[in-house]
Amino acid sequence: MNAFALRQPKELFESQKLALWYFAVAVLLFGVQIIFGLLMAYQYIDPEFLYGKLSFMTNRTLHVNAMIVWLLVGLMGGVYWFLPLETGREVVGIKLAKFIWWVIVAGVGVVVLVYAFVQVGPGNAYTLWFINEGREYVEAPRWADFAIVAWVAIFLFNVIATTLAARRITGLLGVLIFDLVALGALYTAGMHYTVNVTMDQYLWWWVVHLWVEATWEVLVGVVMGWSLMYLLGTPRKLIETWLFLEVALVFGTGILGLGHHYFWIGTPEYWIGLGGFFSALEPLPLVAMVVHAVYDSGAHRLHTVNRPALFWAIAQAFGNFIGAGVWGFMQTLPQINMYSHGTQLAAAHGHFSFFGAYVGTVLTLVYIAVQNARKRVVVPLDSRLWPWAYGFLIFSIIGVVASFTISGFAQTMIERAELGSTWNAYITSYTHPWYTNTHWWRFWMGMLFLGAYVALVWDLLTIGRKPAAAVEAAHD
Amino acid sequence: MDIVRVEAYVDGSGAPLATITEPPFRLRLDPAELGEGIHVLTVVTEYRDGSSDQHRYVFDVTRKNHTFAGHISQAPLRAPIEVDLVDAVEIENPAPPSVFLYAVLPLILFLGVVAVSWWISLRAESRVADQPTKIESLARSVARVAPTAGAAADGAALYSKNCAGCHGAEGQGMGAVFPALAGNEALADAGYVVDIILEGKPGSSMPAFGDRLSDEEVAALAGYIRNSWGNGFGPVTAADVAARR
Repeated sequence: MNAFALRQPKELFESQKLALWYFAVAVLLFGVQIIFGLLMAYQYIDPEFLYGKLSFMTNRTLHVNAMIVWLLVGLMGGVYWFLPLETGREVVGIKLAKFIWWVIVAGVGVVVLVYAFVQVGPGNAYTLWFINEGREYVEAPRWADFAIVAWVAIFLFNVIATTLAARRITGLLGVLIFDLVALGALYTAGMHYTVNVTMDQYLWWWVVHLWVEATWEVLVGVVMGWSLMYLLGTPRKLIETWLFLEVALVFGTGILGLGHHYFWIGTPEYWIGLGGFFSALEPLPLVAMVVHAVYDSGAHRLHTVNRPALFWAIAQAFGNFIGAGVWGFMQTLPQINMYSHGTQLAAAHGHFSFFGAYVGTVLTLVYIAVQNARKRVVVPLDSRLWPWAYGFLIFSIIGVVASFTISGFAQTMIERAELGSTWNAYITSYTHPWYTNTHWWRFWMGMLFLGAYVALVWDLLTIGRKPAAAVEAAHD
Repeated sequence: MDIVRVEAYVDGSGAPLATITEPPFRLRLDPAELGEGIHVLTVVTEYRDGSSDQHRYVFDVTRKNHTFAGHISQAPLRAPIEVDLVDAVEIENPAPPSVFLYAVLPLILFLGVVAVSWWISLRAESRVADQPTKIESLARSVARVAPTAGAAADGAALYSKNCAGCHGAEGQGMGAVFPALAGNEALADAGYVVDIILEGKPGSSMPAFGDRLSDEEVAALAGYIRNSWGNGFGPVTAADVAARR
C-alpha cells in the first residue's frame, strides 16, 4: 500500500458512504441508457416498432440524458469519495449534500416518467416549466434545471468549505474549485429560451460543449489524478505537474473549440476560422493524458492495489485520445464538417468519446470505491470476471462505433457530397446497403454490450468477496 | 502526516540500505554497485501515529544516460544519484488557503458567468425584430395572408404544393419514412385524415397545416387524397373540417 491509499480509514467517511449511493445510481442509469440505446438501434431496423408510444425522438432524449446524468453523478461521486482523503476530514455540509441528493434522485425519476408517458405539451410556458424545453439533449423542464443548479451549488459549497476547514490547499483542490465554478455557472446558460434559434443555440452550446470538452475533461484530470495516486502511489508532484499542463491545454484549445458548433448555426463567419483552428488542437491535452497514465503505469510496472481500476484508467487514457481526439479530429475541420455535420459520423464520435473519456473514468472510480466498501479490504483487488466485462464492453463499443462510422461515411458521401442534401439524396443514402446493413450489426453489438454490462454489475457485486489465493500468490 | 522513520531496502535484502529519521529523506544510490539490470527499491515509511506504508519502485540500471523525474525508472550506470524517498509535497506543511482566493473569487466568477449569459439572452430577446430572419413578423404575416377563404380550393394544386415533396406526386410515399397515400386503408377514416393535416404528427416529420390552410382548402386536399390514385373513400366538406378544428 502507498501513502495516499493508506489515508483511507477502516470506517468510511460519511461523504464516502454518500459516494457509494452516487455510484449505485450511476451504474443503474448506465443500464437505463443501454436499454434506450438498444430500443433506438431496433427502431432503425423496424421504424414502426413502438411508433407513437415510445418514438425514436423520445428514446434518443432519454438515451442521451441518462448518459449525461450518470456520468456527471459518477464524477461527482468520485469527488465525494476522494475529498475526505485529500483534506483528511469529513466533508463540511454533508447533511445538506445528502438532502439534495435524494431530491435529485426523486427529480430524475419524475422527469424520466414525464418524458416516457407525457412526452409533449402544448408548447407554452407551462410546457417549458413542467414537461420539456424542446431540446435534443441536456433536456430538462425548468423546475429540474433549478434543482440541478441548487445541487451543483451545494456540491461547490461542500468542496470549498471542506478545503477552508481543513486549512490545506493542494493543486488538485485549487483546480477542482475553479472547475466546479465553471461547471455550475455554465449550466445556467442552457436554461434561457429565446425566439431566435441562433441566439438560443449560441448559449445552449456553452453547456453542451464547454461542459464536455472543457470542464468535464478537467474534472476527469482531477479525479484521475487522485485515482493514480491511490492505484499506483504516483507522487503528487508528478500528478500536479501533469494536471496543470492538461488544464492549460484543455482550456486553451477547448474554450474556442466551441467554434466547431458555431460553424453552421448562423453566427458570424469568423467562427469558421476560430473553430477550425482551435478545435483541431483539442486532441493535444488528450495526448498528454495518455502519456501521463502510461508513464505512471510503466514506472510502477503495473504494480497496483486494484487491477480492474488500473486497467479502466489505462482504457480511459487511450479511449479519450482515440474516441474524442482522433474521431473528433476526423470531422472537425470546416472543409470536412460542411459535409459530415449531423451525419452518423457524429454519432460514431459521440459513442467513442463518451465511452473513452467518461465511462472509463467513472468505472475506475467505482472499482476503487467497491474495494473499500466491504468490511475486509482485499489488496490487490482482482477477479476472474472483470477482464471479460472489460474486454467485451470495449470490443462491442468498437463494433458499434465501426458501424456508425461506415454508415456515416456512406451518408456523407451519398446524401451530402454526391446528391447535395435533397430529399431524394436523403432517401437514397438511407436505403443504401452500406447504411442499412450496419443496422443489424449495430443492434447485435449493442446486445453484446448489454451482456458485458450485466457481467460488469455482477463483478461489482461479487469482487473481493472471496479473494482468490492464487491471484494473491501470483501477484507477489 | 508526521514521518518518524524511513527505511530503504534494495533487491529483497533483509537489512536496510539506509535508515533515515529526519528530513531530507534522501538516499544516495550508486547504480554501478548494483550492476546492470532490473532492481527493486523498497521504501518503508513509519508515521508518528504508528501506521506505516511500504512502496516498491522497480527500476533499470542501464548504460543509457537518463533518469525520469519523480521516480527512478531508469538509472544510468556511470554516476551515483540522489533519490527522494518521500514525495516532497506530501510532507510539507502548506499555508492555509486564502478565503478570498478560494471562496469569494469563485462566487464572483460564478455570478459573473451567469450574468453574462443572462445579458446575452436578454439582448437576444430585444434584438429579434432586427435579425435578418425577422422571425416574429414573418409568423404574423403567414397567419394573416395564408387562409384564402372564398376562392374555390383546388385539391390537386394544394397537394403538389404542400404534400408531394414527401408523399410523392402519385401518393407513392418514400421508403419507410414517408408513408404511401395510394392504397392506404387508414385514409378510410375522414376524421383521421383531417386531424393529421390540421395537427401534423408529433415526433415525425409531418408538419401541421392548420394555421396555413383554410377549412375549404383542408377539405379539398383531404378529398383529393381520399379519391386519387385508385383510392375511393368519398369527399370531405368544409363543415367536417370546421367541426374538427
